[in-house]
Amino acid sequence: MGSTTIDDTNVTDPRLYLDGVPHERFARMRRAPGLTWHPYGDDGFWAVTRHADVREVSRNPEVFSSAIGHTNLWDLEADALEARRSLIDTDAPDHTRLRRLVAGAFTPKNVRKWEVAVREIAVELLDEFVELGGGDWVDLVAAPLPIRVILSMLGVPVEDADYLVELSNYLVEGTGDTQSIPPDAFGNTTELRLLPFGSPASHALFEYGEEMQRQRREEPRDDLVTHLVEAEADEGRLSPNEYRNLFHVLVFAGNETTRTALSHGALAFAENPEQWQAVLDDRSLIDSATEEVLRWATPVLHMRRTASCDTELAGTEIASGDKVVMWYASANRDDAAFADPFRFDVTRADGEQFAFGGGGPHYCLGAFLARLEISVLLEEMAVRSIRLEQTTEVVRAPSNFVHGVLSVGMVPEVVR
Amino acid sequence: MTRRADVRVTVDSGSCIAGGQCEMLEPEVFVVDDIEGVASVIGAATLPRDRAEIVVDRCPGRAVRILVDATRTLDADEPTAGE
Repeated sequence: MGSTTIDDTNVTDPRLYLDGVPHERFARMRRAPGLTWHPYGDDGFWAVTRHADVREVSRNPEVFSSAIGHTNLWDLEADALEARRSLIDTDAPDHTRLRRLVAGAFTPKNVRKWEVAVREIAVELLDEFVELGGGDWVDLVAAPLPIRVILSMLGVPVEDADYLVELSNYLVEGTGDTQSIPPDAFGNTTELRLLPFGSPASHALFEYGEEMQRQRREEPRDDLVTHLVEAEADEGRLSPNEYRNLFHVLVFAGNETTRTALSHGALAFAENPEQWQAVLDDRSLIDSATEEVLRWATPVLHMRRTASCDTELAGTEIASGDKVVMWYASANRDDAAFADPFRFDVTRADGEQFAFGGGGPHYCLGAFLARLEISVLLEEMAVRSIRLEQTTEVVRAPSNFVHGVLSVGMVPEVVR
Repeated sequence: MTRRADVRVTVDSGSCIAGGQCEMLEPEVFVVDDIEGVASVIGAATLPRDRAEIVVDRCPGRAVRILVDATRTLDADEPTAGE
């Protein structure tokens, strides 16, 4: 069976995302039979937009490889791919080895050990937000909460948090069309194509990680970087290049994604005050509300796989080497999985949301940590009866990869 | 076999990525070793079949298996017997 080619339904132009996810275009692709061939550069990719198909691709890593080409839309040259390879861009057995090095820190049991620390940070940020009478929700709450948590886990001193948030912001730019910093920023001399997100900020983050590594070698502590340093000393478990890319992923993914979830969550509750009222009235809804915030936000819009062999999906024939792009943003609005998917509903219990991916080995490492951060923040807002009211237009990131919110003004209203 | 009947489960340590889903869903049966980053079963390792199937479905490494008998495991894709 064939596939549909539609050229008036581009979903990759980063500028589109300034107005939000182009949901009507995704809905059209979900309704079209088979997979949609989406032109991109000189070539194109199969757009996987339905929930069931995203699930299928996610759970068949032998067929849909993460290690070939790249996991972003464009291919990398072989040397760039090697230089930038992280646990996101690997298949088993390398992926299994890398993932196991850090997985222990992110299991539900070990994530729960951070609950007190997460709560302290959330309370401090909320108190400050209330005291100020509101302001930019991203700057004041959504960005600092996850970065402080991941930096604590890694062992990074809290006074460096602002610097790492700054680097992270430049990395987000690297997923779009524009870079506001010159190639030699932060003393970078590496060709940009060899750096994650093609950004000189990656060079700075690598350097930061390597400096921490030196410190921990001399003075081990009870933190994740020390754990990685020990693994590196253990022949064959972690190469120097793997270390710096892993550090990079942990910092970036540990703050950018949850920041996005907390921003869209705040927006959703501001726009749907009756949903927040439901949480205030019944705190047992926090868990389902957290899942709904994740579905609603879908912080990572897509991930790409590459077919390792000729295969077939949804009746469409896929050739070995074809790019296959899973649009989580679309899967999370698929009415085959979610009743009335465009309704934000904190009591929702129908589909399995794919904000952490569609399952399979690349399922988000930080899923339990993200859930903890979101649910603790919601709880502490509920305890204080804080209701958010939006005061300024949301400014979105021009990116087809992260569903970023750059700023949105909010004021807290204490309701009784 | 009914869906409530107990089945034995096992973890294929070669494909486990320590995603922690098993430990979250059934903490009495599964435990993740933090250092090695691999899950294993504890005790009798039995679960009602319907709950075991949820763990199999949610396991990101497809490492959790249902033991059909002493020599064979049921694959994630294989239809469940007795339905």
